[in-house]
Amino acid sequence: MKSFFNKHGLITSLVLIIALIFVGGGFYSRYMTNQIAIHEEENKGGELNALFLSLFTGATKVEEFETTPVTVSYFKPLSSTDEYTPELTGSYKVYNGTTEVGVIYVVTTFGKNANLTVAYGINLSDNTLSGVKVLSNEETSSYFSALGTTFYSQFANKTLDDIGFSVDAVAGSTMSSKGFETGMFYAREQYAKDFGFEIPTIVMTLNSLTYNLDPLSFVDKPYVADVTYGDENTNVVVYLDSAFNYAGTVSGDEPASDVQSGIKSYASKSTEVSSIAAFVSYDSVTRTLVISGKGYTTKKLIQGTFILNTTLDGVESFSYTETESYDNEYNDKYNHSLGEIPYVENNLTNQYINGETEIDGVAGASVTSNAIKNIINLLDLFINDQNGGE
Amino acid sequence: MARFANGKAPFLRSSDARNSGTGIIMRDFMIGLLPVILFAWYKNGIKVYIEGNISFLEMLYPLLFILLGGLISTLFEGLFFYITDKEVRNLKALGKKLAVSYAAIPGLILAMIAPLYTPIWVLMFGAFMGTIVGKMLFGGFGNNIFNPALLGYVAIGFTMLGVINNAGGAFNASEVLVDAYAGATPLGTLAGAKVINYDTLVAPYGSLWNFLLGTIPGALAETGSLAIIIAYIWLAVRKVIKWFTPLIYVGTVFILSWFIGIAAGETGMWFPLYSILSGGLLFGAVFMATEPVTTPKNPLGKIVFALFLGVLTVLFRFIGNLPEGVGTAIIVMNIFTMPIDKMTAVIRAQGIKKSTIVSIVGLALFLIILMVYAIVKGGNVYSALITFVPFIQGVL
Repeated sequence: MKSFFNKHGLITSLVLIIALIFVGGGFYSRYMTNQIAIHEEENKGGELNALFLSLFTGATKVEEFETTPVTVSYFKPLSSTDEYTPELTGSYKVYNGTTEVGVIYVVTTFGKNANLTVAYGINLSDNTLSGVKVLSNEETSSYFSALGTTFYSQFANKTLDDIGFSVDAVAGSTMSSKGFETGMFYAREQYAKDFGFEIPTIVMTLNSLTYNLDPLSFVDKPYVADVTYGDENTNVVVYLDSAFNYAGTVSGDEPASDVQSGIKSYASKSTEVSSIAAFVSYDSVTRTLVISGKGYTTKKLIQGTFILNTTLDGVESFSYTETESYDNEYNDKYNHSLGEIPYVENNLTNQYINGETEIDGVAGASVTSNAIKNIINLLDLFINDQNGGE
Repeated sequence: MARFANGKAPFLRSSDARNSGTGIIMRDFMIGLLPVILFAWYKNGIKVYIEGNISFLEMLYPLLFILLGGLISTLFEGLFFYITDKEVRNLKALGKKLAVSYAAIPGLILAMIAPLYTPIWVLMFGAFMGTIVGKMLFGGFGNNIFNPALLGYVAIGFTMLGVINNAGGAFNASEVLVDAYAGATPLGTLAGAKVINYDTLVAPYGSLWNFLLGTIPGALAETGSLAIIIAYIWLAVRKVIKWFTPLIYVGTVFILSWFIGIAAGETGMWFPLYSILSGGLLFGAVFMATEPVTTPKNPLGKIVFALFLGVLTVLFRFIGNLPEGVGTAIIVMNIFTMPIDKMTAVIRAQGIKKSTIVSIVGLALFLIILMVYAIVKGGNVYSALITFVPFIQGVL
């Protein structure tokens, strides 16, 4: 062995050192590469931590906690048929020092297009929302960006005792707004399960929900709800605004705020009215009624102007603002056979004027057809009301 | 006319003096590398550690990586000597051989121009290619044609780029957190965006001050412009390098980039400054374009060499597929070192005469054509200039 090292010691040492660098260096390089992923994770955690802490004033620590998610299904925004179940993707306790001050539920809810993941912070001391933070969304960016500071600030200090969560949707982002609201309902269910919170309930019957056909008030108060509530079966008929918030009394005493919240909750889930069409104005001198509807081109409403006949039992003439697109290949299927632009609007309205009881939509233009059907429905209700239902 | 020493014998060459010669040059060269190595360690290790983004062991990595580069190429060279030379089979003889062969330098420089997360086995491969293939197979120190470090760099660049990127690439743990970088170095952004625009090329990295200080993403030591400038001053003052070679190289890139910027409608001086402070240009100009073995010996040759380097770098950067052009330009020009040396030596010795005029005009013409081509072609990539010159478009 000694003679071997005397003879080959140098080359052996050189080779061994090279081998050592190869192996040791390999481990070192691997360690460095592995650390990248760890740092990314730490950083992500750090960012999330900071985001969660920002939901609570004076909070110092966030800790994840285990819970069994509740299973509650809701309708997708503005749908009365498609259901989905929000998913609890995280639950955290928030501390100020050693004192538990709040809880955060990360809920994946459903917006306009797809999933919307939102963190809901709840103050343990008074069962109020401390705020919300969007963690991810798959909405169209221009659409989602319409939800500004005013929208998010509505959630701060909102009490969980508010039965219907009166959050005002943002025009142009109604479905995302609704997604937030549904997530909030779900977070409250989870909070009730985890912390023994009692979700407020109110015995209430929504007897009817109709359109307000009074030209003097139908713009600001488009709906009328007839409700019976409480142990004493109190009846009240109230106006509601376009977001189903209480907007005044038609008959009966003004209900308490929890009842108003309950009415909103019931009304917004009702399918008796549609928010696709709404009255814009009525001039009794010229007998001109204007109704708007949400068609395919969401940025601009379809607006129909109808001049009623002198006996107020039919339409003398009508016109539409051309907000839908009729020059693309999507419309090629029908645009030459249906007459003047705007084809769908004119075609469906003429069906109504000609006395058709069932208005047929136009294949390939179902969204626009649906909007016009809703406009015609309002027109028909208004004419019937003006003519005393005769 | 040949010059002769006069005076009394014995005559001593200045290079034989104790304070001169290759040993002193290499010592000064290493001192020149020092601020650049330290900056690379600071930027990719110490600073990131202070920012709390890496552990202590990770903090040491950039320094160890560079030092390992030097050690690895020394070991390879030692192994080569041992195998090929029977006289060098004991530690003392081997040590002597390695000391005059400056074995550490190829690996050291290779590590400095490699991305931070280059795996060490890849560095070993690069050092092997540089030291054994690029240097020793040509006959060792003083006989190599290509810059050994660059040959190693090109070898790993062409064969191991995917491995390096998968291992983490050039961004340190602090830089990956900066969203504005979008995972691209400044030259990577230029190659990807194809626009000459301050907001796209400079603003995401801060300002041109960041480019000068070196706090921008890039290979380990190439970004430290200020440290490299300090090294340049030191090496020029110590006469280790000719002061004008880096200046002409960088100046050519500056002027051509300026013209390309103008062609693209961007007249600001920020773009040529961005061009010279991005990538490995300054590092290459100071430490590689001045390398005594693989670059021309006479001053005129050095000037011609540097001019061509500048033009080729711009061509490769603006027209080639790779964002960086320095390494490729130097390797290409290494091939022409000998002809340039011969041609310029004749011109220097004979002056402008009938016999040399062809060489001078030929060289000048070739250089001018390349420059015009670089500007026009650069303009073609980045602006609509070329559309106004359909003839040129057709030809080029």
